[in-house]
Amino acid sequence: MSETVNFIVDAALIDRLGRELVSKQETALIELVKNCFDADATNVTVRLDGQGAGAALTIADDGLGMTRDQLVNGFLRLASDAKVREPISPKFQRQRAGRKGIGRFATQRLGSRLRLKTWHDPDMPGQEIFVDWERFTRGERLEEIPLVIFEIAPRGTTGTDLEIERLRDEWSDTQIKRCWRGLLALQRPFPIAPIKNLPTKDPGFTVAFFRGGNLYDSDELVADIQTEILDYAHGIIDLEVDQNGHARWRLSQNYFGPDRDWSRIHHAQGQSRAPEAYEHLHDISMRAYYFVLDRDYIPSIVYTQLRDVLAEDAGIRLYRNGFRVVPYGQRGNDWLRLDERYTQRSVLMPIQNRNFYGFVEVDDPEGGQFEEHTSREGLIENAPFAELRDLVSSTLITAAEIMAAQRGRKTRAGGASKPPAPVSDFVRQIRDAAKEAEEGASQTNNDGVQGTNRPNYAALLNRAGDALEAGNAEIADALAMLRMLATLGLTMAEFSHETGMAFESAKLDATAVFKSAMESSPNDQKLRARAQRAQSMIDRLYALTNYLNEVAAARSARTMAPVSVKGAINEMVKGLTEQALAVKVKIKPELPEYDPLFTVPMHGAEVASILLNFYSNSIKALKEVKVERRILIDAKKEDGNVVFRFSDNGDGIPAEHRPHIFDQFFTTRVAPSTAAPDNEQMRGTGLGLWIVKQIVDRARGSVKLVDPPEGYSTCFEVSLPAEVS
Amino acid sequence: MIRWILIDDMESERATYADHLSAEGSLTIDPINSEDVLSTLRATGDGIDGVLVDVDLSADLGSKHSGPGVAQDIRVAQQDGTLRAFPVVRFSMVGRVAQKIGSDASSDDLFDLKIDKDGLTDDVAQDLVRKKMLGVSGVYAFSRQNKTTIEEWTSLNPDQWAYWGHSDFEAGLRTADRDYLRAREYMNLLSSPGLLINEHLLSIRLGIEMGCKGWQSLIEALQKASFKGVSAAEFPRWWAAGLDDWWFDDIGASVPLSSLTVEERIGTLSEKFGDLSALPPGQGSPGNRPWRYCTLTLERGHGFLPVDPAEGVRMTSRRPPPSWADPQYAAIGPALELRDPRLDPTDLERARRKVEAYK
Repeated sequence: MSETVNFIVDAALIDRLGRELVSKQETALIELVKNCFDADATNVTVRLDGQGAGAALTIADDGLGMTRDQLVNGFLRLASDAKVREPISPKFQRQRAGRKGIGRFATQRLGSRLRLKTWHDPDMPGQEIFVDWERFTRGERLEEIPLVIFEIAPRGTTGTDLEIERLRDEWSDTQIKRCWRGLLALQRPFPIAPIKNLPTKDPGFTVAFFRGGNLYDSDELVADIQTEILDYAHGIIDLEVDQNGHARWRLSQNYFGPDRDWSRIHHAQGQSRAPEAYEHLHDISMRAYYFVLDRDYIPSIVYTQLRDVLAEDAGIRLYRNGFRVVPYGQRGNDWLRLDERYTQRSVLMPIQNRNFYGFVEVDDPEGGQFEEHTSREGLIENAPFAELRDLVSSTLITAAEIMAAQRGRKTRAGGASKPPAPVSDFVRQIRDAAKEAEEGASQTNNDGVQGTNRPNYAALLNRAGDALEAGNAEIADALAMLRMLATLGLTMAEFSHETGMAFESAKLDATAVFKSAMESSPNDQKLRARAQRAQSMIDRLYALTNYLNEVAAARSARTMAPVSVKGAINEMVKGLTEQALAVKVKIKPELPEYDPLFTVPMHGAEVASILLNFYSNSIKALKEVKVERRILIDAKKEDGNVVFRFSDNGDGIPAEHRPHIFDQFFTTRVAPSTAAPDNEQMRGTGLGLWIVKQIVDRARGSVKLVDPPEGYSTCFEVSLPAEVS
Repeated sequence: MIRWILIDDMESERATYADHLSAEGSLTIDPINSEDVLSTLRATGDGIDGVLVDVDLSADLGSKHSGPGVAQDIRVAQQDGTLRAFPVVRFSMVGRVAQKIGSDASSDDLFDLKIDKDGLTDDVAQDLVRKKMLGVSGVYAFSRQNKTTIEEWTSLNPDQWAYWGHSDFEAGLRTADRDYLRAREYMNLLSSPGLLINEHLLSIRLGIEMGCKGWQSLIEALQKASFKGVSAAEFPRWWAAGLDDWWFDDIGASVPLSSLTVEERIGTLSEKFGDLSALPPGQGSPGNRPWRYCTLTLERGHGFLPVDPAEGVRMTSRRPPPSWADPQYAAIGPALELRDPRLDPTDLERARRKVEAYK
């Protein structure tokens, strides 16, 4: 005996889809406006009338409306895949925003009753359907709750009205404003070029929000932001990823220096001039306006307004196929980890969310790259999303670093900076203000005339206070950096010594383990290869640790003494040869046999720092060299100076960069993403050669790029005064 | 089975070294910390043949000990007879010695040998350390048999000693009234080049590269001058004066070895021993009549760098060396670079002028 049965759909499913999948009322409203966009509407009005139990929300659009068939088989059909099958809207060819067919249940989330009116033809009668969501209760079968469709008179235009009654939530003014901002943010506040797949015949999409007759009109605010805010940006950062995954960026309208034209970028290949394409990411555009919230760079008349607006609305928003994806770029959302990095003080120039106003546009009509959570609140953090986050943060920081360097501010903790302006400057300003105030008072006393030339005491004090505050911030930054460097130095000296001790015995044990493993399995070639590889790496680490121990020991010596450049070079070569060979670089020292080449008194670690900086640059420059990679270090005494040259056959330094290589923060690398570990953040900061120059200058020597010896492409020459016998 | 104790405050490290330096069947090493070390040693009784001790024991709980402190306590106990005589060897990283001991020579007499922990990863280096440990244990075992004569210790008869030995050493051995003092005196003979020279110094004096093709036959021919005293197997040595006798008597030379250039030395020796290689010139060490090695280079763990005394820089130690020991030298290159305070200022200035002249 057999029996045929069916699934039964409980009416409570409606509640689940509506109230549980869309947690926030703002999100529900956004979903409904998305449907208007998909229906090729050009104008949408959202009206909130009444208060409390009698409150109602009406969303009216001038879109295409629905035929009876579309109403029954589309709107009333759960999980309809019509939008998946037809991802492009029929009239304006828009890429549809809603995909999963649950957006309509947002109406259930917002209120317990829905009245839907729709007109597909301006001259023909429309359809009306009334849904009382309270009838969809647990225990009822969904298909057994009847809904009645009425015919209504033509209204002369097409479109759909959604009247939601018995709202589930109170809508305070603050909520209305938040919702209004959310709706505003659905539309891009400014265009990114090129805007793809949007035919020019599309007149656009605007939303107006009314409450009891008060108008909140989006157009006006957009105009305000454009004219009152964006015009004060200090630079515009554009980013594009083409369909093949190649990313490029540019910096324009740079307030602090020359613009940077389009150049290729990959967050993980910071040093490469021809970075590879992204594996997952493609068809991305970004435009971000960058603001340095500093009174020196923003007219005082708009400073406060700008600061407040940016604090509220700035950030990098994310748009997918023309619609905003929340919560990215909302206040408090730090999807690019900009605030986090800034708070950790690993990046010192302003790179908080409030310093950027912009958006990323993802062109992903097939949904092949990104997938939204069903709750409509964010994207699933898959590989393309991770690449997007890394690329965008890396691009923003790279641009901010360039601008910071151009205005001479330090960019990263750990790097030195120009000394902060002395507090005495600010004290002088206060004294000037006091003097001004005093003169104003005495003039009053002498002349018996009040008020004509009297300074504005409050303004003067405010100015002086601001100056002191700025000075304090500078000093706090410098102190934070010094504290970090001091801690780092002490830790390094202490732990490198302990590491050296442990390493010696660890190497002893590891060597014995490898040896006995190979003896016990003489024919296991894989084991042999592994053991040899591990042994070689341990040897390399051993040599490096020993060298770092010596540098750390020299660093802890506080007194200055003549330094043997020959000794320092020999130690460096001994310590780094193995490491260099691992990346196929041969180091060749050419040193005098007897002359130790003593300099004037210096700190022992300073010469080591110079050599390490050159070495580090050479290794980067040699990375893409296909022939034999070579470093040559030669030294001699010449006219009372110790002269040493550091040469490599790497890819050389382009002529346009040569005048800037010793500048603070000058770097050609791309900043690491905010997700990169701390040690990555500290690399390639554009401080290496600047530090070299500081050391050399202090010793009254010189450092310059000179013609390289034959067979080499880059040569730095350092001349330090020799010790006077 | 020879049994040693390794005293170190770092548990893993001491276990590692004890493990690797032990030799199955001949040498066992027990790693311990320095807490209550004397009680432990006393409880072990006569079962100890030597102690390795790190200079830094500061990580041990409640301990104020340092390596020299432990060594001093052991020597005092050996003096009053509560511990039997056994060797005490300093066993530490070069960097830690520099930090904890520096140029303070006051603890030098406490240790029979000083072995660096650094660079013990290869088998050859480990074997060498093991041999030294077994050798110095042998020296103390011999001393505990109350042997006091030169002949017993050195295997030289009085006539030979009169030519190759030195009365000051003999006096030192005679006046040592404790087993450990006699052993210490003898270890000095083995450790300090002077009356005896090791294979490296032999190579330098002959002007022949150690280990070259004809080297072994040359060593065999030098049998007459080789040292045959206590622990000779563990400390291969040659009598310095014996080498001179061999040079004149067996080779038939008429000019002292030390006054000849490397080319002249190898020229003479090649006639008898065929395939020999000349000692390669040392980097930073000019001159072609090598006779000493550079103390600074050796102390830094960079091996034996030959020095021609006419081109080298003399060094003075903070404590006077035995009268029979060779003077210490540094090669010009390391001397000019390292500026060790033990370097003779006059020699150093002379070296500096020479370097200017080389340019």
